[in-house]
Amino acid sequence: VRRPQRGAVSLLMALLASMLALAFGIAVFLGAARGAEEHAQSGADAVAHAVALRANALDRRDELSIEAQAGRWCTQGGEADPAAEADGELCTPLFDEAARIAAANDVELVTVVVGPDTRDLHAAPVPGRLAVLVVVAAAGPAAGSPQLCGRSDATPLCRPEAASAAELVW
Amino acid sequence: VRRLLVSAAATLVALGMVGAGTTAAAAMTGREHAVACMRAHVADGRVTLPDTQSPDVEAVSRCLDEGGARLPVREARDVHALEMHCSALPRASGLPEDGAPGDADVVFYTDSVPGAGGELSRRRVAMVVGEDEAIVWSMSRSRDGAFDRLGFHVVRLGVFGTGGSGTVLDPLHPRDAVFERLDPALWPGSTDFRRSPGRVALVRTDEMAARLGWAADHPRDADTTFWHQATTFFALTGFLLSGLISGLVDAAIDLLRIICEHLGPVGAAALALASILGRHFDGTWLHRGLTVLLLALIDPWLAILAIAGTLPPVRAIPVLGWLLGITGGTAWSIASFLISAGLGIDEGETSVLSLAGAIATLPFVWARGGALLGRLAALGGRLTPWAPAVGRGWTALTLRFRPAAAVVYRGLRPVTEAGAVADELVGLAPSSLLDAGRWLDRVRPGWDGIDLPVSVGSRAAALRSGALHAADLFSSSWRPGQRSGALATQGAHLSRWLAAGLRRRGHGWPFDRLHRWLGRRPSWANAVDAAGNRLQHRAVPVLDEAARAARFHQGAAAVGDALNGQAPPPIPDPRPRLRSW
Repeated sequence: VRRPQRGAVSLLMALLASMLALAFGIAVFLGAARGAEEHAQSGADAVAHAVALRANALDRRDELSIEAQAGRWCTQGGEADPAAEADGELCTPLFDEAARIAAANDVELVTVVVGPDTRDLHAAPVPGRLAVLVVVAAAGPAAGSPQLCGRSDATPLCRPEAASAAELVW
Repeated sequence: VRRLLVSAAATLVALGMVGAGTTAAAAMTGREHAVACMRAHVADGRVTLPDTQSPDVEAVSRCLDEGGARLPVREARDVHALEMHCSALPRASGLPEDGAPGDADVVFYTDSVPGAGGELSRRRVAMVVGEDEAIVWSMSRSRDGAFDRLGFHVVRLGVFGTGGSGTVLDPLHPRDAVFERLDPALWPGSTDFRRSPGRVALVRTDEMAARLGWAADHPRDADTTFWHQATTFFALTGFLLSGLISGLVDAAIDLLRIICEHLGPVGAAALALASILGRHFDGTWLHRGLTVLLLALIDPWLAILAIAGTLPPVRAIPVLGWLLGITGGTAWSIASFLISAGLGIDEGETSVLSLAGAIATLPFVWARGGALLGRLAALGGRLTPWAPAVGRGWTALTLRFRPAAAVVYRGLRPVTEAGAVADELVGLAPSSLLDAGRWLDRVRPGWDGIDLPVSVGSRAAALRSGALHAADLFSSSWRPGQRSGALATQGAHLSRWLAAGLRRRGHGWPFDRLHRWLGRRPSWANAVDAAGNRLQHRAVPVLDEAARAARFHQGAAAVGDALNGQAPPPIPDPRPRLRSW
């Protein structure tokens, strides 16, 4: 092989190797992102389940339920209208429970909404069940990704979010 | 000291006795009351209920009611209606906290009895009165094997498991048993001591978001003051009345149209005339054209000036535009007002009928205007030397004209008023008058296949049903929170009953008689059928939706939302899923 040809082959080989490395990196990143998504989803399910159970077993559930039916819910995160918020004392145990379960599942709470179960709406102020909708975010796809995800933490790949909802069966 | 100790002990004993007594009474929950009531039926050993085909439903409803459950009155005798207020209990573990049946829960089952003409089956309900007991309505069998007594009996819950018990109550062969629990919200203050945290299920996020979104947009009206209740009540009454009137007007127009269709050439001519008179059009360009004409009659240059003054590109010119806008715009406004006031032709939607009415009343309008001018001139005559003659002349002229104008006015007034009413009617039901074709024949096949949910079986049933509805409505006077819902529900019931009767799908004495009478008059029968169709097509869905929405929320807002088609998103009923377990 003449020298110029040898140079071209080594260049080609280097290109191929770098493409392979890049493909491997992308695959690893996507796999990690997918894992983070699943992690976020199971975290969201756990939080929704726990908050629904806690909300429906609250000592002051009836009070909270009547408040919620009148449009004053428990909302954490998001753009909550203060006028549409239930009494803080009613909501605190629910937010605490959400935070506890989120921490245990290594996810961050984005939004927690506890509102009325539409199956229990009545003309008169009668208490009913409560429904829960939560959004959580996983910490990040993989170690070493801050270089990629550093500032754009809102992208689905870098900080996947997952939502889950729960209610009482009866 | 001893005396003090003795008196303290006596006081404590007395307080304890009083406390024990009150606790025992107060501790009786609604469920326990209901169970005690059912047990009293067994202990009585005799049937104390009125002669009814469903003593089981009657007794269970009555006992739930005695326990304080707020069951709607009309549903006291209907097993399916009672079932609607209950939710099936899952039978996963059998533990009470996991939804196993407990006091005052009910079990729905199908009771099959071999009869002469085959197997007779009836849907029945029993009440659970303990951990393993229920009270059923059945016939017991004495020790010697003979049928003993028809009444309420205590059975083991196992009876509802895999077939009948075989020994205790021979005739009882329950099938399809489902244990259910009354909606906790129906118990007084919802202080349902059996309410457990329940079982949590994850649900679809988008569905939950939609439902919560709907709930956020439709918060229950928290205002429960008297005036709020009163205004809500009157708003709903007004809504129902206006709906009824609108439906009646529609039906009357249909009737008129169908009569015309059966009158041959005369009817066709009447329909054609109605079609022309009812034709709607945009009167803006007519008004503008007449305004330009008036200005041009005064001075063609004035017309050009006014048109230029209203054109946006001209008005955009720095100084000239402003000047033209002021002068031309003013001239245009005055001319436009004169056309509106003098000819009665406004900008906007109008109809041939309105236009004809406006033109027909012109003499009156002008006579009044003239008289007013004459009076003003006479008044002005006191201030200027020359005006009295003019004023007197005007007054004489208009006074001469006024009797004639009065006659014209008196003659035309009914016409114009009828025109205004007819215009309203045309506005209400444009399809009826504008479309002179055979609209009904095109629509009817679509409606024939629809079954109505309401069918009134007999005269007695009709009367009873009506009486129950009336009682329910009356009972809202002491259940103010239910008023709006009750009114909307009764309105829906009434409209459905009326539509069913008119469309010969319901029976009952007024409709039987009506249809017998109509049997001899086929064309009238068609008209009534069409009116029923119209009612079914227009009023029933709206009122049904209103009734459904009013169940959820207090206040007339729900009715408005229902009219706009903003119903809550459908909520899947978990019961079929649970039943399959």
